[in-house]
Amino acid sequence: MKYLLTTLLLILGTAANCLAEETILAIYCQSQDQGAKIYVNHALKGECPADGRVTLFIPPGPTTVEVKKRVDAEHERFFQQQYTAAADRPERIRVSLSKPQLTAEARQARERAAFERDLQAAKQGNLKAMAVMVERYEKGQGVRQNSNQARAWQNRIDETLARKELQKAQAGDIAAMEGMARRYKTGTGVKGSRAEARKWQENATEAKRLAKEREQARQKAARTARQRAKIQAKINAINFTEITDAAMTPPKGDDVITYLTVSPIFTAAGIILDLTSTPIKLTKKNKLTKELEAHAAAWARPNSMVARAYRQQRQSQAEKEASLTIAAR
Amino acid sequence: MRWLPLAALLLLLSLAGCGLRQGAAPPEPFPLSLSQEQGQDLQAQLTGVPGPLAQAIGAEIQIRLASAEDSQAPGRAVPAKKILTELLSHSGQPLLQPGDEFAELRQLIDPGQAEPTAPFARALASYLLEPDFACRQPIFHAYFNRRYQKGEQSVCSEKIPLLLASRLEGVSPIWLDPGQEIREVHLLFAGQGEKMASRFGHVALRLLVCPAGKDDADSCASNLYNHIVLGFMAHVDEFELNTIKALSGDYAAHLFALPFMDAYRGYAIEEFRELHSVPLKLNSEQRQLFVRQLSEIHWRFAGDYNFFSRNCATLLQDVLRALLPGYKDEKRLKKNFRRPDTFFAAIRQTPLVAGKKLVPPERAEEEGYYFASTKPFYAKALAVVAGAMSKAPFRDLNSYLARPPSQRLAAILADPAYVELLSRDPYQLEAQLLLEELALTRSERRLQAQGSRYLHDFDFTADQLQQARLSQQERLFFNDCFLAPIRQFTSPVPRLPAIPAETTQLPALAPKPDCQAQRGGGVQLTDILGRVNAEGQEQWLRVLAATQIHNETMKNIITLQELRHEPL
Repeated sequence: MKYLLTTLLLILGTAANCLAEETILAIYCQSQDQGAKIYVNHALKGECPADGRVTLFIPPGPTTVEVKKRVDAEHERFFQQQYTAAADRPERIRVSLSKPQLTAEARQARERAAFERDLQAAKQGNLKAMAVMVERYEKGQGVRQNSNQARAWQNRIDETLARKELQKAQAGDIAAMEGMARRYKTGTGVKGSRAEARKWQENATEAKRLAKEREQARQKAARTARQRAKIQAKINAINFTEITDAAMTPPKGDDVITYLTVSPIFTAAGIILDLTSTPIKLTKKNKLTKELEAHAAAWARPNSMVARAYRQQRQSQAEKEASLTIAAR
Repeated sequence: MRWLPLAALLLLLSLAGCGLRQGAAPPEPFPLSLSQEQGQDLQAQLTGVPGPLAQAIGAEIQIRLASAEDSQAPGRAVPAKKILTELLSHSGQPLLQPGDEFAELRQLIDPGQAEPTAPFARALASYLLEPDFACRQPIFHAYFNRRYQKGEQSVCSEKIPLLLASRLEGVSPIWLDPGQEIREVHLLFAGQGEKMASRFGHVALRLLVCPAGKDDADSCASNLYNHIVLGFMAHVDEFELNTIKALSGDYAAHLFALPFMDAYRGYAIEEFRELHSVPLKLNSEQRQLFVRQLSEIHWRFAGDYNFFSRNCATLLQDVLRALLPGYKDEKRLKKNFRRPDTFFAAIRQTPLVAGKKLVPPERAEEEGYYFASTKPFYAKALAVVAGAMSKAPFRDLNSYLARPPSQRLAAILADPAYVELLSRDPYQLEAQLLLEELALTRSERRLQAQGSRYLHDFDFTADQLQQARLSQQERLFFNDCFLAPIRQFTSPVPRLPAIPAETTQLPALAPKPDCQAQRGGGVQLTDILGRVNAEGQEQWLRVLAATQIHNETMKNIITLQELRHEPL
């Protein structure tokens, strides 16, 4: 009984004490914010009235005052202030609402939508989206934090990168070959394999050697081309008349060389001429020469024996070419 | 030439040595003796030999049999030809001695050798013992037939080979049937040229080769592309002709074979000279034998070429005098003509040739006995071209050819009306093409001159190659495609002891690698020569410049040909 009385006294004492310790909070809204909802410690306490002033009795202690005015379905204007209410001191807060901003619900809805988008893109193989998924699951952005999921998505990234690198390596990309060697060594994106790692490293070494050779050949070709260009410039500088005159003046002033006086087996110029000609030109040259031999007589003296031989030769040549064409078919 | 004094010294020493030995040596032993069996064997092999000759040889065998006891008989393994040769070379019988005619004929194939007995014995032994002697050595075969009155004249039906040296195809053998494929043999005379060497013309022989399967006169006459010229020429085994050597007989002379159209191009186009071709009057049998004999000279003859005294005309006269029936009896040809023009002028008047074929020139040209210089043809083409261009930048052939090829083409293309005319008027186009073709022949000569000068000064020593640091592949290419042809050019012309019977007996011609196909042939050669011969660079550049001119001229021709609608 004694215990019961003591407890009752305590409760009554406390209630009286509480009522006695409430403090006043005066909130001043701006006239255009009429209707804005007022929350104290997240509990709705009322709305901003037309005259803008609201007086509340609140218990002392840490206090969060929030004022929200909905702009549309997703946006609201917002005010928040925190302070520690004291029993013996009324507080006056002047509300100044922010510019319109997303409501918490809207923000959450949007985050969910973004997550879905990223998820779909990641499923379709978008590497950037996959990386986002890793980050989301690691940090719990738009989804509950999940390290297993984060690792799974990282594995998919590695596998995708490995496939792409393999394609490049198979196409001869040296850096990709080295990349594949590393992947097989560490098992990144592929199943680890020392043999495969060695194979790709050897491929990369060989490809590097070949590339070096190609580069050397390219440089040599470029050097040769520069030399040829220099030679060509020198050739171009030689006067045509000079060459012509030199040809018309027999060597050392001798006047003996003439056709059929010397053996026709070889002529020095023939050797040079054949070798400095291009293959196409050589073939054409032979054809042209055959034609040239009798062309003048055929044009100027069509009844001459040379003209007849020329016509026969052309006809026989044409027949030969025709039979070759038929045979080729 | 460094070896020459040493060789001379060795020769003198050996001669001195011979003289000393001769003084101390015992008299020569009696020649080879024969055993009874060997004598019988030899006589058995000589059946069919004409009577007097058989008797003479039989007597010689008897003498040897008689002396068999005094000296050793040869072993049975000694071939009959060797025994017979030895026997004949020691015979004193007049019938078995070489006469003047033999000596004269021998000059056609083996000049310069004074002592005729041993060659006579060898030739007669071959004549008597070798069944194909008529094909291998027709000159001596005919001679022995005449001398020993063996009735048969032409007993050989084989084809004859000739080594044809063509401008385009190089050197290659051809085989001809003198009875079926050669219709006529002509004496070919190239008229006077402007140069010293051509001032008196040139003379050679021309074989009228018939087309396959045809032997009528017309088909054979118009088969010019297969006619062959046989002419005596100097083999100049260096890159520039040395006048002193040419005048002192230091170059070798051979009877070369070349396509007639090469000769036509050389004379009628390149040198603007005219050609006269007069048939030798020979019946079929005479012609066949004569052609075989020419083939023998072609393969065997190697003499000295002297521009004035042993030239194309004198060497050919030697051949005709010895081999052409009736030549020796012709009074107008008793003189030995040193000039081709005087020789031709004399022989065309004789009945040995069908001289009337040469006149009138118009008909002769139609029938293939006269080939005019092409100079007036090109001059006509120039007039046609100049008359059609709106502003022709040349006056005559020389001023046309003096312009660089690129300028010539530019002048044409800058005249749209003229280009339009060329594309619709074949006659006009062909005239324009002719001028460019003439320029092409000139550019080849230009290249010859520059190339010869370059090679003349080229140092072929190994040092050059060493310094150039050629790769293995480059060395092989340079050897196969440059040095090997040069070596062949400077090598003596191979000579054979008789007409070859088959291709395997022909002299080995250097294999011709496909240098063009080897990694861009000419380009590679240009690069290598650019490194190999540093001192000759200036002249090499001139060669390349001349090559470029040649190439550009060819490009002009190809460009013009593209305007052609119908073949001429």
